[in-house]
Amino acid sequence: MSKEVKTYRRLCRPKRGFLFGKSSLWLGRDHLLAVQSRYFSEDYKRFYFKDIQCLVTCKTGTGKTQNMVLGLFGLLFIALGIRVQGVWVWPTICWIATCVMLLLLVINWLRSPTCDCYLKTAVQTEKLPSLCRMRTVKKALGLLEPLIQDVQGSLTEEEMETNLTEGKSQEIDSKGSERSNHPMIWESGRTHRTLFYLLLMSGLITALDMRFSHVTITLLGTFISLGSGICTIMALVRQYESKTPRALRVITWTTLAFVCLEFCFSYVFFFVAAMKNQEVAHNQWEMIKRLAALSPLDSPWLTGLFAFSISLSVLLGAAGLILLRRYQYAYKPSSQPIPVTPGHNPRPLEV
Amino acid sequence: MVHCVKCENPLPWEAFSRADLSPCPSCGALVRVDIFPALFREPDQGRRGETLSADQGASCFYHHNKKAVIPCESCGRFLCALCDVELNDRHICPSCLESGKTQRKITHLENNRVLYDTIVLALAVIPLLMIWPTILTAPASLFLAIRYWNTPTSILPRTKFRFISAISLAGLQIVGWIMIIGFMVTRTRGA
Repeated sequence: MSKEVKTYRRLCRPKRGFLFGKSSLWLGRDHLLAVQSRYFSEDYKRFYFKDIQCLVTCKTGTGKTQNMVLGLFGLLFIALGIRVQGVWVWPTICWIATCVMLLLLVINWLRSPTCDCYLKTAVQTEKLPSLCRMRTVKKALGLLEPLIQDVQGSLTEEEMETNLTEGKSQEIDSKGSERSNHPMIWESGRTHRTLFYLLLMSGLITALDMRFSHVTITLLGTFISLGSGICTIMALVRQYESKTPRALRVITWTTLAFVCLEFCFSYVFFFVAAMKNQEVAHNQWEMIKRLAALSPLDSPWLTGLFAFSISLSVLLGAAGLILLRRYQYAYKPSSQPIPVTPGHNPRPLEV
Repeated sequence: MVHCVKCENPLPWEAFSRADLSPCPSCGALVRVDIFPALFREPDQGRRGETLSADQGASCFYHHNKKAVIPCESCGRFLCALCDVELNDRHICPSCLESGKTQRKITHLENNRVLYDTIVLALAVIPLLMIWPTILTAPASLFLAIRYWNTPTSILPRTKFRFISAISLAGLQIVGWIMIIGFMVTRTRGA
């Protein structure tokens, strides 16, 4: 045990997952150890210094998205703090929530931009989840580079240029075969697009519902929410095992979480309304009419719920459509031919 | 060849080993590539055991027609170049490697470990929220802490703090339950 204690030293701070586990990187005597912890167990992956070919770091927009979401929530709580009157408790809670959101925003902004870092060896390309900020990557590289160079030796600029120039001709020769190994097929353009348009419509209808109380709007909103739920499931099915970009996958999964949350809130709301109006609880149409007649502005909770629903619908819908357009442009058929190999029948690009 | 991690298209070699980020020509993602000499190294060719002629030295334990080049540092069997497995600067035979992996004697081959200390601590702490389950979980936690005290937990630097905390907490809970039961018994008898 005492020998093991001295074996590893930490390379960077661990990155915690959303709910479960954390990933960390440790330096061993002759290898890099990636640890994935899940509460009661740990998984290890070793990358020997002699085998590491390169580290690819790609800047991502996750940090910006986080900042936008935190900012949006901050503004939402400011609006609620101004609007909510009466008992001092609710405004105080709103202002405390605003301060927390703004503090988180500042912390997130002070940490450097987010990135994805991949380590490549001759036989694998592995993501290193703990290297998720540009500053962390730079620090880690500063520690890692001398260790790798001790084992592999260092490349002089001439050597690198020679190798890369030689590699360039091979690269051109092997481009076709490489492409066939990485077919750029990605699914669900149409389903994703429908989903994001539905989300935007849902945001708009909810905003209208806040202003005008009419049964038609309530019914329309309900149908659009149901449609969003169905579309989300369809989009998730279609993106499964496809080359759908990660950002789009994340947006779709976030939409699922949002839709589930919205359904739960609606169910609770309907249940409470049914309890309060027991005389019409057995008549669905009357219940819907009573619900439509309610104004969200009557209760701070309902106002907050509606504001949350509108902001998230619009945010997810707009972000999804922007990403879809961006990737559609990047993978358009003219720039990326779809390879046709015997026995492999790729689905055509739908977008 | 190095590919963009976002669009999986090959990255131009001009982007390699630059301190700043450069855009991927296909998807525009900002990428930094740090390369090392291993990228240009030819893959290692597997060694083949040398065939043994009649008048030459010892033969491999596993391949009788191959010439032994090294003894296994664990069991001492003679090994040919094919059977010689180099791990952590040690030369061992495939069967020692296999037994070392199954018996968890070679740390470098382990890719998963159960954290018994965390389990024991969780068993001592989480039931405290509902109080009543601790009548069962406290002895269980104490038993598991003693049972797995010497079992290696994480291969990362780690102290016995969790085990000690769990034992202390479980001990306190047991003492608490003994006192409550004793009090109830005394009260029943008194009544």
